[in-house]
Amino acid sequence: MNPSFNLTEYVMHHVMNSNEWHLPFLGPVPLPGFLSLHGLMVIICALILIVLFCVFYRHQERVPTGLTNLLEAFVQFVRDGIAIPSLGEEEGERLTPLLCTFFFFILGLNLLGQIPLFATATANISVTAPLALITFYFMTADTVRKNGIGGFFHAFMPAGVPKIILPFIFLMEFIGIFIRTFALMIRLFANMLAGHMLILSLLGMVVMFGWWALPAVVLAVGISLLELLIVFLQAYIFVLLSAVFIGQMYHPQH
Amino acid sequence: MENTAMGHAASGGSPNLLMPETLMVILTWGTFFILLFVLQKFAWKPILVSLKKREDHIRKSLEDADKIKEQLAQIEIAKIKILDEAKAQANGIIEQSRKTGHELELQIEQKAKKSAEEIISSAYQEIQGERERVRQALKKESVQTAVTLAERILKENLDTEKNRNLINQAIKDF
Repeated sequence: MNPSFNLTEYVMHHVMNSNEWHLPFLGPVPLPGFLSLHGLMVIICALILIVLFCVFYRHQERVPTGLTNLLEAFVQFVRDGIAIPSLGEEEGERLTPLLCTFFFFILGLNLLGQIPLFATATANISVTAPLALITFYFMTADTVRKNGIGGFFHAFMPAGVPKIILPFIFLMEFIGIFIRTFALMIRLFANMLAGHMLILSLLGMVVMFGWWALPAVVLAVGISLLELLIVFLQAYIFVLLSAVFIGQMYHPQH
Repeated sequence: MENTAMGHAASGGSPNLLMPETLMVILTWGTFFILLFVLQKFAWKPILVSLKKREDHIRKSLEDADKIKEQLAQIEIAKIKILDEAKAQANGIIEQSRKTGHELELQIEQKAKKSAEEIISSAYQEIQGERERVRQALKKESVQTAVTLAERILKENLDTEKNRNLINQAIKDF
């Protein structure tokens, strides 16, 4: 056992945001003051997405193949599988670009975290919070724009509820929109953080116990594979719940 | 909210995972909205338009295929109907031809019979005429012979025995 090794510090050092990027042969590369490692990941992910959709995606293909087909399949899935069923035909088509951006942005950030040398920006609450707040904006301000202030408050008063408990339900529903936003933010953040913490803990055990902890590496590989599934699942869940929450506010009776 | 670029307190304080960083939040929003704007312009809009077009095209093609299928079924029914009619017509024509042929056969047979009867009758008449003519010629010849014989008898003036032999000789010569 290595007594100088602190597993907690090792794990936290790898999952937390920092102002330097550890690169092979170069060591820790310091980042500008305004930019953290997770901020850099956010920018890299955005650039990759722009290149992917503006360079590699071919608009002219009548029968798409390869990468174009894959990207279109995802876009179509977001539109037909999430946006339209949750928001209706008109609003679903209107919000499809937003939901597609959510999906690809979160998926990209999650996937970047699976590549060695890169970091998982979605394991940072400063990334998931602004994304959840965008959903919150559509659940509140955009619902007021669409349904009016009366329509917005109407969403907190479900039909058929006895008048005596209506104020209580109203309050519950009103608090509910904040809770939903909070849950949206925490779910993505916690899932991505927990997966990485688990993998790093298992790998840290190798440093701590040497060859005795070798089975932990096998376990870490297994968890990494599971993490690949979670990467897609969490992107899907964030987009699906955003669409469902916005849809519940847009169409309160449904 | 911490106003640093890092969540991990660089100063060495305990890390607060649940405390958002202002700069990071602004950076995430800024990047997200720029990404949304760029992709909306260059990706989502064209992709959704092309998806819509392709869906419409596929829907139209399927409808066309259904229509063509329906038309083909109708054509098949019409084809069967036409074939049945043609078969019926052909059968009618064959029946009519057989009838006509039979009638023609009867006509020809009757005509032939009549013609044969006429030929036979004509031949019979001709034979009759010929026989009459031969009989007339024979009669004429007989008379001529009789006259010749009489002339010889008268010229010779022989006895009865001799006369008889002469007559026999004349008949033999004749």
